[in-house]
Order: sequence, then C-alpha cells, then structure tokens
Amino acid sequence: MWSSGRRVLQELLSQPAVRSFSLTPAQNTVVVERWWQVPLSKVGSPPRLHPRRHRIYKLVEDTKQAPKEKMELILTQTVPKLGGRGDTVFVKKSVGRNKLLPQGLAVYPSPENKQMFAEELRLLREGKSEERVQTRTGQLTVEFLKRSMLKINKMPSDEFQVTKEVVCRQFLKKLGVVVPPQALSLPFESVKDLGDYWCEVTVNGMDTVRVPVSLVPYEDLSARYQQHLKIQTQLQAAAAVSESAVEEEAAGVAVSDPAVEAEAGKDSVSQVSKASDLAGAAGAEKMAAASTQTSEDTTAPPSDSSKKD
Amino acid sequence: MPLHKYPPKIWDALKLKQGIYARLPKHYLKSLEQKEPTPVHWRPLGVQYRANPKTGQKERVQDVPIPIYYPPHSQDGLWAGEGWISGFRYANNDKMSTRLRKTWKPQLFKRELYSEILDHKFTITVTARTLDLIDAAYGFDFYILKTPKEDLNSKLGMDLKRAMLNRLARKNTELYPNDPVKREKVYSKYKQQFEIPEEEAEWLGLSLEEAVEKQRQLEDKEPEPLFKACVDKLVEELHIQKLSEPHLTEKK
Repeated sequence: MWSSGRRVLQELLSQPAVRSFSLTPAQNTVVVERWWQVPLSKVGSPPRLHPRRHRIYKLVEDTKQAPKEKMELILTQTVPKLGGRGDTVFVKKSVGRNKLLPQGLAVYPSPENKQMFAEELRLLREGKSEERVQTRTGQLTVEFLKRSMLKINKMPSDEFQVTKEVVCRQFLKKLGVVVPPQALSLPFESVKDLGDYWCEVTVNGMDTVRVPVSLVPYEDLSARYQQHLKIQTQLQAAAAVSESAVEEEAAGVAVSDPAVEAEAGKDSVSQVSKASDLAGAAGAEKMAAASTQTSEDTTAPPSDSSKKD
Repeated sequence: MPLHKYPPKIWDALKLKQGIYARLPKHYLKSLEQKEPTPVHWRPLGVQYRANPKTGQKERVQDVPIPIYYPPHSQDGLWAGEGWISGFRYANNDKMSTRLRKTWKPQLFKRELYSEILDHKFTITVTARTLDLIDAAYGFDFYILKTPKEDLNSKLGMDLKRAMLNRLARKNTELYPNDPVKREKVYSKYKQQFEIPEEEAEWLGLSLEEAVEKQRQLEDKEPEPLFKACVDKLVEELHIQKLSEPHLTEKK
C-alpha cells in the first residue's frame, strides 16, 4: 500500500522537465545570483536548499541603471523634427509610448506593418502613370528652390561655357542641392556672356521649379588677392578720412564759397566714398555669400531631393 | 497502522478527481497544472552539462530558481513575472562581513494602456519590463494573447485574455458592433494565431472556485415538483386499470 501511494504521489507531483530559456534578457529588473553554490541533487528530485545560506544573494544587474535604449517605430503622419509617413525612426521610449503610439502617429515595426509600408513605397516608385503624391521631402525641396537663386562666377579662361553639367555642379557647390542632369533643363545649349538666365528643375519627376541663374564676373577668392583688396580698401578709407578732414577745414575756413569748393570737395568725397562703398560692398557681398553658402549647406542635407527624374 | 489511507501530500490531487471537480472540462484541468515560469530575476544556465571553468572537466549542472514572492496586489496589475526577492546580502559585497536582510521590490508605474479588441483604456499597475515586453510583442493585445499563464502571473491578465478571446470568438455580435470596417481590420490582425473555440475560451484563466461555480450553474436544474411525478403515476395506474377491466360492448 505504501508503494502504491508513493507511485501515485510521484505521478501526480512530478514536475515536467521543462527548461525555460529566456529568449530576451531580463529587462529593467533586478537580477541576482546566489553567493553559495547549491549542491547538485539527483536527477528527478528537487535540490535541497539551506534556509539561510542559499538565500544570500548578490546583485548582478539592475537594468534600471543601464543606459536607456531607443525604440524603433514607423511613422504614419508627418511629425515635426522626426519625419514623414513611412519613415522608420529611433525615438526615446517615453516619447514613443506616451505620445506617438497612443495618438496613432506611429506604429510598431512588426513584419505586417513593414510590409504595408513597403507596398506603399513600391506604389510610389512604380505607379508613375497614376497621380503620385509628392513626398514631404520633395515638397520641402520645391519650397526651397522657389526661394533660391543661383549665381555662377565666370571663370577667367576663354573657353568657359555654362552647360548642364556646370549648372549641376554649381547647384551642388553654391546651394548644396543635388540635381542630376536629367532633372535639369536649360533653355539654351551653352552661354558665355554675363547676364541673367533661368533653368528648370524637376523634383521627383512631378513638380518643376524655375530657378533664376545669373552669370557674374570672376571673383578671385585666393587669400593673396583678398589681402590685396583689404589693403586697398583700408587705403581708400584712410584717404576718404583725410579728404573729409581737409574738406571740413576748408569748409570751416572758407565758408563763403559753398558752390564751387564744397561741390568739388563733395564730388571728390562722394567719389571716394562711392569707391570705398563699392569696395566695402564687394567685401560685404563676399562675406554674405560665404555665410549664406555655409548656412544653406547646413540646411540643405535634410532635404535630399530630386534623386530621380 | 498508517495514519491516513493516502499520504496528505497527494490529497489535493486526489480531490480534483472526485465530485464536481471531475466533471470540469478536461482542457481546463490540464491548464491548472503548474509549469515553470520564465526566469526573470536570475540568469539560467540553460544547459545540462558544461565544462567546469576551473578544472575543465565536464560536469552536470542544474538551474535552481530563486524563490520569488508575489504579493496579492500583483494579481491586480501586470507585473510580467516580477516580484519581491526577500533574502540576505553581504555588507560591502564581501563574504566575510555581516549578513543583512534585504528585500528587492520592483518599481511600479500606473499607465493607461489601450486595447484594440476590447476598445477600452485600462489603467494598470505595470513595471518597466511589462512595457518592454509589450513593445517586443508589437502591441498590448498581442502581448496579452501571446504570453502563457505562468509568465503573465496575474489574474487581471488572464481575465483580459479570456475577454479578448471570447470577443474574437463572438466577433459578429460583440467586436465593434457599429463599425464593420474596423471589425474586419482588427479581426484580420489577430485571427491567424489566436482563434480558439468558444468552449475553451470561456474556461481560460478561471480560478478553481470560479470554475466550480460555473460548472454548478451549468448543471443547475430547478427541482421538479413532486405533484407532477404523482400525477403522471396516477394517470398510468388508471390506464392500466382501464385496460385490465373486461371490455363490455352493448349489443343493440
């Protein structure tokens, strides 16, 4: 009778030999391990634990204090500072769980969702005959191009011509906009004279923007010439100051002749001032061009545009 | 002479084999068996044999789980297998120093989680691990439906699971009754993995007392009045009496 009882007990209380593997590591939890090793028990019987010795634990990891990882989401709408529809972004977990997911601005990147967005992208690329909607980045590029103007400095060589490749390169250098030659259309083949022209840029094969192009005389940007210009402007400024001082003295001394002397003085002063202004303006223009170039370069990269016709 | 007929250790198992317990559905009784939960607060070795790091010889190893206490209010939230670890630690992490009592408790948050199937926002006490697991399962409903009972470790979790499966099983009446488009969308999302027959879905995650009550209500019948039984008996007796009398026909 005892043996039958024991067999029944074993049948009823035998724990299934399931070894559970944690596929993902314990996240944001306290992970401990024992200080003292538990002696190995026979197969089928549970290990015998000492009530105090085997309850002494050592903290292995508190994932609360590990660096916070970012989570991956796919956006469904345009979100400022993150992207447009269909973009996969990495955001902080707090932002994603408290704002994007509850308000429906983003979804999890599960295989089904990824497939859906991939299909949308495929339709965008291949469904050319239907009315494709312009992408958000494409729209931004169009806006930017509408506001911009291209200035090409004519090179001092004789054979300099403005062709499509030249314009494409100048777009890249001056405005930071990548324009493949098939997206650009010029009304002329090539020009050599200074003046204003226009060209047409097609964004994503859908919208066309007319950008004014002006061919301006050559400016030597080498350091030596810049220094030379600087010295010249300084001399002219000094000359202007001395002239104006002389003119004041003359005005102070001979007040009774305003017509001839003052006019002559004023003309010369104005000429000198005009020259100095021009020089100053040229210098200022260069500075402005350099600053706008750098600012445009920094703003250009987010809007990668016109990658295809 | 032995004290009891069966040793007390098996009384619980024997109790489940008699009376109303034996009449409970088989799939429910199978779900009552305890299984090991996924280790949360300790790192399992995972292998049966390994090379000893010091000697290099092959040795047999076993995983010894850390006993974790799940307070009763953990069943009202989704703690994702976390609980209180009560034990000791050595001061300054040095075996030769004093042994101090230590309880590690998880950090809890109250969060609003939205369920698509049930179309309701639940305020649940969760841990950070729960939120991570929900992200890993690509959705709150997916997480609830995918994790087994031992890993969820919460009555609320099992109730939610039962409600979701019931709603999916009775999709025509309960799932978004006013919006057929949304109903199709939500159903197609969950139907491949989580279709369970309605009979099984009704019994999922019930505690033993609840299951017993449910079975009792199913088998409950109003007692038949004695009057009916007596009347039937009398009618039969009169029939027999009538048939046994000789048949008199009047000759005209």
